Amino acid sequence: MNLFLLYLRIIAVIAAMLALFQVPTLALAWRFGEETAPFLMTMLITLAIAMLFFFTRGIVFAGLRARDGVVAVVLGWFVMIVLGSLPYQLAGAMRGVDAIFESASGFTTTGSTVLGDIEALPQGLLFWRSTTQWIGGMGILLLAVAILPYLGVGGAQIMKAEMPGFKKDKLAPRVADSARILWGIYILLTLLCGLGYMLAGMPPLDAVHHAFTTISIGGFSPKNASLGAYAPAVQWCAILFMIAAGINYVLYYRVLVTREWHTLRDEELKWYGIVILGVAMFTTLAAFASTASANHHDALLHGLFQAVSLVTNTGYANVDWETWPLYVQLILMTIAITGAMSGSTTGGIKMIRAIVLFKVLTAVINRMLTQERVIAIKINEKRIPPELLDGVMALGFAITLTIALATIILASMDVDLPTAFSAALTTLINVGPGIGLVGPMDNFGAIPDNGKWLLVVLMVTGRLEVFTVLILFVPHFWKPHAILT
Amino acid sequence: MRNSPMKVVIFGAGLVGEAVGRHIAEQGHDLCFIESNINTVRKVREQMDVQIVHGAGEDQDVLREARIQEADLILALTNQDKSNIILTLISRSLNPNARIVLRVKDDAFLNNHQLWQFRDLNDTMIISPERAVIEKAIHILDVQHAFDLVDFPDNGVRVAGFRLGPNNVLANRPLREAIPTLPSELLLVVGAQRGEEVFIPTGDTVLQSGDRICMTLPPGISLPVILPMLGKSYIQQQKFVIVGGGPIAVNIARQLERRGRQVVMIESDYDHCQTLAEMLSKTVILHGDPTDANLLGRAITPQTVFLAMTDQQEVNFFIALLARKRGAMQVVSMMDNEAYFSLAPELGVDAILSPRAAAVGSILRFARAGRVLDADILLGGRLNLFLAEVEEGSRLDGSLLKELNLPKGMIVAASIRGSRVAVPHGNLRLNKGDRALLVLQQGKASLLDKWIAQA
Repeated sequence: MNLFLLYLRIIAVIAAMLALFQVPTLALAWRFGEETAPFLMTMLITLAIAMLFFFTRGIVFAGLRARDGVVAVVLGWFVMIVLGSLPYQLAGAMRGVDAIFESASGFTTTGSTVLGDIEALPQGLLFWRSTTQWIGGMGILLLAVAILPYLGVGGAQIMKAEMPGFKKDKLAPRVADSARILWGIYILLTLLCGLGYMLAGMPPLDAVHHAFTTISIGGFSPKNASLGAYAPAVQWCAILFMIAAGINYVLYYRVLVTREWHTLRDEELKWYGIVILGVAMFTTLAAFASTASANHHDALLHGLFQAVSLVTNTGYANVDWETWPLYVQLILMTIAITGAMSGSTTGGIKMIRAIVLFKVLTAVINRMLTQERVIAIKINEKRIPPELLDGVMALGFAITLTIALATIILASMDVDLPTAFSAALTTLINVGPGIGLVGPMDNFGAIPDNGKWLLVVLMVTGRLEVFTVLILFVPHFWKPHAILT
Repeated sequence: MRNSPMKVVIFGAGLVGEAVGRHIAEQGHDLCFIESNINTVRKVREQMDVQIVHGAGEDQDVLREARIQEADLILALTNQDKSNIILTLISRSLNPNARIVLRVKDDAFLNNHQLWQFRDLNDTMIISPERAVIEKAIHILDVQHAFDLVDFPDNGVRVAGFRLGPNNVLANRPLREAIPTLPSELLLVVGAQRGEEVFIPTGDTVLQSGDRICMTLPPGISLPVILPMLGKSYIQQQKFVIVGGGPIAVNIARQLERRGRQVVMIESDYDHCQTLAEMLSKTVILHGDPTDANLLGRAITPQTVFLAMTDQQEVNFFIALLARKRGAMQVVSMMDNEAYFSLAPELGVDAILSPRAAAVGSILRFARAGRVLDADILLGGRLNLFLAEVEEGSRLDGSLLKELNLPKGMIVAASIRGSRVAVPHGNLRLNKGDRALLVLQQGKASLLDKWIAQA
């Protein structure tokens, strides 16, 4: 099997998808009488690349190995980021590295931006920006698997590499069906969310923008003040849908389709609720004490909103929470590492892994107290197999290590500590805002160019759940015949 | 109308079959064993006055000889599950009207609900020794310090066995003086064991510390009040230590968890520990040798109820002894060898869990006939309990208890009218339709009919 042709096909498929998604953007730009050339150009380029598909015509990539899926997905994502940055560059809105950063932040649903004045962008570019988040949320390759059954690229390996999750259970026997179910729920949630925003009084176009970036847990907003620019009703609506977007899609499926109500007695769901409420307690208290919240209702809204936004990793802001005490900011930053539930579009390590890590920690301590104790790490009364446990602990360590290394590298570029640490964390976890120079009401423009490249890599690493990218740095990986794969 | 004796056929005269048969024969029923092992056949012939047919239960001639077609009750009690199921099917085909009880051990069979809904199996009674002993264990553990407990849940009566501790209020004076000091009129000592001797006490009986007594426990009785009167201390927060992680132990642990009790389980096989940790949610699983005195010492406190439940009876004995020495408040041991039963109290084992004995109790509940509504055994079968309806014109009907002049070895432990449990004192009048809980000594079961049935 010629792997080069496989990669070519993946790239062609991604380009074709991007070309497709240019259409609404193009239409919008035309409707507002803006310059349509950047989008037309992008469309032509992506279509040209999509033509490469014909070189790979008729080849069935059966028996794809896990490693091939990994390379294809990582490669695909970087190509996607570059192609996605074309509209920004061709419109002359941003320099190369900034455009790449914005594109990466979009597709990885991070939500960080290099733009100081977002509202200055033309409508077309703004819409493209939100679209990238929506595409990236559930994953473009997963969409390809869902709608192109004859993709013939071993969907299972692609899905494993791209789909965020813990056990990565398939919902249906066939990968394509699973992908369709996931995208179906995703689209349904997006529609409901958009409708909710409109009912809450948001202008229709803004509602689409925010539906895209809420359900993908991205956090881009076409407004400088983020959700702060809208009425409280809209913000309450945002809270609701951020929470909804952070719930495991498998649960939606089990409740809506197979009617297994008992699946709602889910340990991860329980802790998702507890963590949100716990964090909200701190943030609401901070908001009460802060002058940024005018009254009690505002304080509650601001506190809960920020808690949900950070726990789910959305990254919206409705208040400048840098006016809150530093410890509350740090709570928000560190809880973001946890993220919302597995099987959703959230970032971070996912709630379930955090629960497992805590259970391992308690087990270790209990074993220190009583050597003879045998403790099974269980979720929903089911034991986690040892290899999954290893994966969780390794991921916890990999995330910590990556954040530490990235902070050191950023610090070497004369970035101050809060900024360096929070920038590394917020991009790896796909949150969006950090603290210091990259706070919720600031942007990443102040980060040196080399630092931005690093953050782009971090964003992709985080979106693909770390290991998919880390594996590329393992020397063995590049020696195909050195070990069995 | 006298209850006509039932015709009972038992497949298998092994330990369970023999024990059940003994009780059934004692009640005056016609009993026929079918047994293939010639040694067992000889033993039964020597010891019991029953018919026994030597041969395989599947054999047509054997079945004809046992007159299976005429049987009212058929018990399949061999120690092979599959044999019992096949014998049930054969019996059913030959005798569609008989009640059939069958003994099944394997969980795979027990949990196969579709199997039991099968046409020829769905009206049989299934007895599992394991399930019976689990139920027994839970009953015993629900009442602190009890060494045995028989529950008639539909009638609100329980009979519990306690060993009298030092400084109790019952001992060293005639019972007629001691009983009124108890807080409830419904508390009645219905049986006692001193050494090997089992007797039914009268007002003149003088109990001693160390006697094992059986007494009725009315619903809602307060154990913190009652236990000190029996010379036992009530422990607020019991802690359960179970050694051995077999299926019975796991089930007991699960039930205890459900009651919010603190449970520690010790198991020697590491891989099995992992499985246990998965199966049980709140139980603390410890990996260690059951005979590790150090580990046991750390696990046992004066609040500990200790359950020795490994699959080796001798090990159970030994660790029970260790637990007793370490000061556990109650020591329970699982064993099935009757030869050990009498040794147990002397070695500090408070209660014995025997799947076989528990199965006998359950089978007797189904094997009853006529006016007997429910039945069970206490003190390893030395006492028989019968819950029976008083028949019109019987000797119990309409007479005052004190005038009855009940024979030695028989006592009315409780009388139930409607849902009310009445005090069985001298001035109580039993009427037809009342239910009476009668306790009879071993060998006196034939008295039953004489008193509850029409003369």
